[in-house]
Formats: sequence, structure tokens, C-alpha cells
Amino acid sequence: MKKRCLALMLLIPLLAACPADMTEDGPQQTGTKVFFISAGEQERQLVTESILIEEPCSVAGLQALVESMYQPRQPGHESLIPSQVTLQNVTLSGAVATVDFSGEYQNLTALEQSLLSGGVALTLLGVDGVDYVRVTSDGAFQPPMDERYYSTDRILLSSSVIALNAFDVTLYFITEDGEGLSAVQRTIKITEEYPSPRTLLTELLTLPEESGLRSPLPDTAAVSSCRVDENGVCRVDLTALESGQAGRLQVEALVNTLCGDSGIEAVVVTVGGQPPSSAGVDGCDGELTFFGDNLQ
Amino acid sequence: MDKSRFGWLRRLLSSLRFRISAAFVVLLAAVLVIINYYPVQLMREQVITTKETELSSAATTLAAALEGYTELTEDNVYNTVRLLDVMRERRILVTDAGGIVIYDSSQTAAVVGRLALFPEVIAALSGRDVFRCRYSETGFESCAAVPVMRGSKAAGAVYFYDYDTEQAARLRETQGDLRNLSAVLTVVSSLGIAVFMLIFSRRLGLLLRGVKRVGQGEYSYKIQMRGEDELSAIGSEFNVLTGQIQKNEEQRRQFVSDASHELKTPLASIRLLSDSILQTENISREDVREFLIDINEEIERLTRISESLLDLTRLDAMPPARPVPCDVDATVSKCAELLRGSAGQYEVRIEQHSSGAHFILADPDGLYQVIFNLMENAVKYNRRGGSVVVEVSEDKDMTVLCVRDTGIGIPQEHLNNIFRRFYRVDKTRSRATGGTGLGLAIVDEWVKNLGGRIEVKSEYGRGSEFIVRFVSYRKGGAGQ
Repeated sequence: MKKRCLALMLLIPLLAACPADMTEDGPQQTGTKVFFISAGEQERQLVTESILIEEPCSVAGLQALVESMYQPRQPGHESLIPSQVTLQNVTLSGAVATVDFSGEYQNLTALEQSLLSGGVALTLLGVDGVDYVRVTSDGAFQPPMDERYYSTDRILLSSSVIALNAFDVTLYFITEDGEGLSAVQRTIKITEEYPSPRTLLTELLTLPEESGLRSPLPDTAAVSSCRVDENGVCRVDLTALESGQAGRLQVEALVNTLCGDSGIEAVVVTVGGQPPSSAGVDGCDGELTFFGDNLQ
Repeated sequence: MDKSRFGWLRRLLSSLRFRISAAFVVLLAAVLVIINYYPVQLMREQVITTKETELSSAATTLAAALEGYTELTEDNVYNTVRLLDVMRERRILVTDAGGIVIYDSSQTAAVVGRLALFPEVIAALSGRDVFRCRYSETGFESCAAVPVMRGSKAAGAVYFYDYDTEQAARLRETQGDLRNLSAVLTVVSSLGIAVFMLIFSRRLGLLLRGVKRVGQGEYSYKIQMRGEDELSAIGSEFNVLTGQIQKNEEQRRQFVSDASHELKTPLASIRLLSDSILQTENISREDVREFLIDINEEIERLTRISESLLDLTRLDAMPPARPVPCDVDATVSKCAELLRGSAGQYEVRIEQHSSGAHFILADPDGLYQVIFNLMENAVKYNRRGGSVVVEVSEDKDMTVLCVRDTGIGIPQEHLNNIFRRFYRVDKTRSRATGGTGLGLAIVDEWVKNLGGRIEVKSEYGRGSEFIVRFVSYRKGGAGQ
């Protein structure tokens, strides 16, 4: 009785970890997305069909997936694999799947090769357990990737990956008379999800159209390094800093800009690795937060 | 009053004010939709067209420049991009023939080395130029893809991506301005229509109030409405109408009063005479006979009055009879024959003069009544041994009937009233001659009905002349 209970206790976690196709309910319920291309002259783009394959995370399953790519089921879809190119072999080694096609692959145009190999890679990368795909023809690596791996981040399906995000940021410049700061609203377009400190510092190099303002950064070489530590403090190392009030305004402009829109809590400014006081700028050593009372 | 559940709603929906206001609201809404939609739509399309021109042109320029290279490399493309200065605020990708990105203008998140299977890149690598633009509230997202041709094959693709937030901001600003304008327009228009409806309602209310009060019998009520629009015209016409109604009502009252008086008088006489018979003891046979003769005369008088009233009532109520050609001379002759007996009693001579046959289109009974009443009056109010001359003549297209007598005449101050019902110049004489005061009123009504005109000339103590004109009837000619 005790042995049976122990066996049951060991069996239950094992059963829970098994893929769904090993349960008494039968084969896997959710399909795998198989890639095709839309037909027609004008709009050709990669499209998918959901196909149920038993044990997709196996050589037989992967082979079945690739073979299903020859015959689209829905009207308006075309196969990415020309009929003269035959599937010779599929291997699975760990998380790397290698697909070998016949020699006719080499007679395809560059675009056809890319669509074929890209489509096969995207299809197989959709299977849990496959992280990398390689494509060969008669055993040899083929363009476009040659010996490189296909992975999910190497294939771009839409321009959303390169799309720009627009942000309204506030940049602080120094007034021409050097008496204070002036806040300038600007819309920046970047590929990042949020403006990084480096991006904001780069924007400070571009003066606004309004006359009478100076950048707190004199040139592109003014910033040696800019990094955010694990505490959310941004550490900016400058090559040079003006002394006295002018230098203080430079520091205030940098701190206000960085603390405003990039989510930085505090800024530490150094000059050649040394605190600003070493360059004759007092009151700016250590962690600095937003200076709010020197606007003009 | 409609007491049904939705009676108030039905009244509201059928009211003129609601309909005018609703029509205005619908019109204003249509205008606002047009104002807020079309200009923005046009602006958006214009921006997209401009974007297409700019982006496609820049991509084509770069692609054309890259066609000169035997091999596309990152350095080649970088130098060409800098030379052509097509960067602006765009992102530029250049791929090889297989779609692998060999150049990315982005310095922070470059995708060099990746396989770009965008639909636009696929299209460009297939040899086609592509442009797409998607508008959202934040910006215009545009892309253009152009093949880099080498011979007849695509050696690569140039892909331009642009995200214009400034134009979108301007469009939003314009939309905001249009919305503000719409709001102002709505407020001003609503105020305007409210003021207009207030004025309109007030004027309409004046009209309605006037109609109600006249309907309650206040015929003297007049609508005071200023202005020169259609409502003022209705008010003026209404006042004229109520004036006429008031006049008719007064005439009706006067007529009823006169009729009552005229009927009461012979009835009173009959009562007096019959009371005398009943209350006189041992009244002689001769006295009874005398009283009965008087009663008989009053009854005949009552009968004549009733018949005349009936004639007048019929004239008021009846539709005009179909006119037929009537021989005026023949009717005069007939009337003269009928009156010869009573004329002889008064030793009055009746003469008829005519210059040929005279026909008019008329109701024969009406024509007879006119001629008979005029000739009867001429005989009754004549002197002993006098004469009545009836002449029928032609005056251009008019047939003129003239009845002239040598009677007592009519004083000038009475001439305007002799055609009024129950009007008598000398009541005593009229009673004596059996007059009802309705004869000339009947003549006047019939002459109007027959489309004619009547006038009277008289000299008190010498005689009177009644002249009636009708449109002549000629077979196949004027008057038909």
C-alpha cells in the first residue's frame, strides 16, 4: 500500500510535466502555424495556417510540418517551397533543427531562397523546443543565412520592428547671457521604447530654432560615458566643464533634462572621473536631482 | 384635449415650431459634419500624396544611385546616402537580393544582417515599387520600397520608413480649430434660431389668440401686428375678414330685430282685434265682420312678409341657377299685364317702350321678380292719374331697364338706405299700401345675383327712376 502511494506520488508530477499529446485525451489540441505566401500580383506577404501535428517536437513532427508547407489548404495561399525542391531530411539536435532540401534549392532566385528558408524557419521556430533552425541543400549550408542560424529575432516580418516611437521631451538649454536655463519642448522619434539618457544627451547637441540659447554640451565628444547603475542613478562623465556659474548651469541643464523624461531618479556628474568641484563648480557633487528654480 | 399617454409627444411632433427647429437642427448637423469631415479628409489625402511623392522620389533616387555598384555593401550604401542627403528624419534599410539587410540608417537599433520579409520588401525584390501610408492621431506612418535593378533583375531593395508627427499635429490643430468653430457656430446658430422662434411664436400666438377670440364671438377684436412679412399680411387680412364678419353680424342682428318687429306688429294687431271680438259683449255682426276683415288683412300682410323673407333666405342660401337667355321685353309685358288691374284701381297708366328685342342671360324667376317689384312699387307709390313708364334699351353691350314713375319720390337722405331690408321711407304709407319693406331688398339681391347694377334717381314730390343694367346676351357674340 505504501509503495503504491509512493509510486502514485511520483507519477503525478511526471504526468503533469508531459506534453498534452501523452494524456488520455489524445493528440495535441492547439495547431502549429505553418507559413505560406498570399497569392496575387499586388499584395504578397507571409500568411499562416494552423495545422494539427502529432508530436511536433520530434523529427517526424517537424518533417510533417515541412511537408505540410507544400500544400496550402486555404484559397489565396501559395506554397513557399517550389514543387521541384524536395525535402530530403530533417534533424533535431537539442533545440536546433536542420532541414535539408534537394539540390534544386540552389537553382532558386535569391528571393525564392529567402522566402523558402525564412518560411521553413518561422514554421519550425513556432514549435516549443526549437530555438534555432538551419537550412541546407544536399547537406551544404545555403544563402541567405549560409552557416548562420535562423532564430525568431533574425527574421523581420513587419516594419513594426523598425517603427519609430514619438516622444515629447523637455530639454534644458542655457540662455545666451548665461544667467539661467530655458526649457524647450521637442518631439523626438526613436526606435527605442523610451528615451534613453544617451538619446536625451544627443538631443542636447541640437540647438532649437529659437535664438539666444546655448547647449550645455559643447560638442559630441563632451560625454565620455553615460550609464545607469542598478539603483537607477545615471552616471555621466564629461570630458570638460566650465568653471563657476557657467559650469553649474551646464550641470543643472544636464540633470534637469535627464531627470525629466527618462525615468532617472538622480544623476551623478563627473569630469574626467572627478567630481565637478575639481573643475571649479561648487554645489554639484554627488547625486543630483531636478533643479526647478532657475528657469528663465 | 388629447389625454392619451403620448398625446403631449404627438402635439410636440406636429407643432410648427418643433418642425422648424428640427429642420434647422438637421441642417446645422449636416453642415457641421461636412465642415468637420471634408477639410480634414482633404488635408489628410494631400499629406499622403505629398508623402508618397517625397518618399518614393527619395527611394527611387537612392536605388538609382546604388544600381551603379557591382556589389551592394554597407559602406557603398552609407556613402551614397550621405552624398544624396536623403536621410532627413527617416529610417533607411537597404537589402540584398535575398532580403538580408545590409544597411540600416539607425545607429542605435540597427537590424543589419537580419532577413527582412516585409510585404513591401518582398514586393520590391519582385521588381515593383510600393508606397504605403497609415494615419493615426499621433502621426503619418509611411513607407516606400523600390528595387535596385541590375539588368532585369532586382539586386536589392531600398526601404524608406518615415514617421511624421508634425503634420499629424497640424491636422489635429486644424481639427481642433474646426471643432471650436463648430461649437461657436452651434451656439450662435442656436441662439439665433431661439430668438427667431421666440419672435415667430409670439407673432403666431397673436394670430391664434385673435382667431380664438373671434371664434368666441368677439368680432370687434383686431390683431395688432407690426411688420411687412407674410404673418403681418395674414393679420391684416384677418382684421378685414373679422370686420366683414362683424358688419354681417350687425346686419343679421338688425335684420332679425327688424323681422321680429315686422312680424310682431301684424300679430299684435291680430291679437288686439281678436281680443276685441272676444271681450265685447253683444258685439254686432257688422263689427265682427269689420274686425275679421282687418284680421284678414293683417294675415295677408304676415303672409307677404313671410314669403318675402323666404325669398330672401333662398337668395342667400341657394347656389346660382344656370342662366338662360331671357327676353326682357316679354317679361316687362307680362308684369304690366298682371299689374294692369291694380294700376287701374289707382288710375295709374303703365307704358312700355322698347327699341327692339333685348335678351340677357339670367334666371327667369329672378328677372321676373326684379321687374315686377320695381313696377309694383312704381304703381303703389304713384299719384292718382300718374304714369309708370318702363323702357328697355341698349347701351353698348348693356341692356338697360328703366322704370320711371310720377309718384311721391324719395327724399335724398333716404336714397342710400332704400335697398336695406325692412327699410321704409314712410312707414305709415307703406302699411297702407301693404308694403313689407323687403321689395327693393329682394330687387337688389336679385340684380347682384344676375350680375347687374341698379341705381336710383328720385326727386321728392315728383317721382323716381330706377335704372338696372345687365350684360346683353347675343347669340354667338358678347354676353354669351
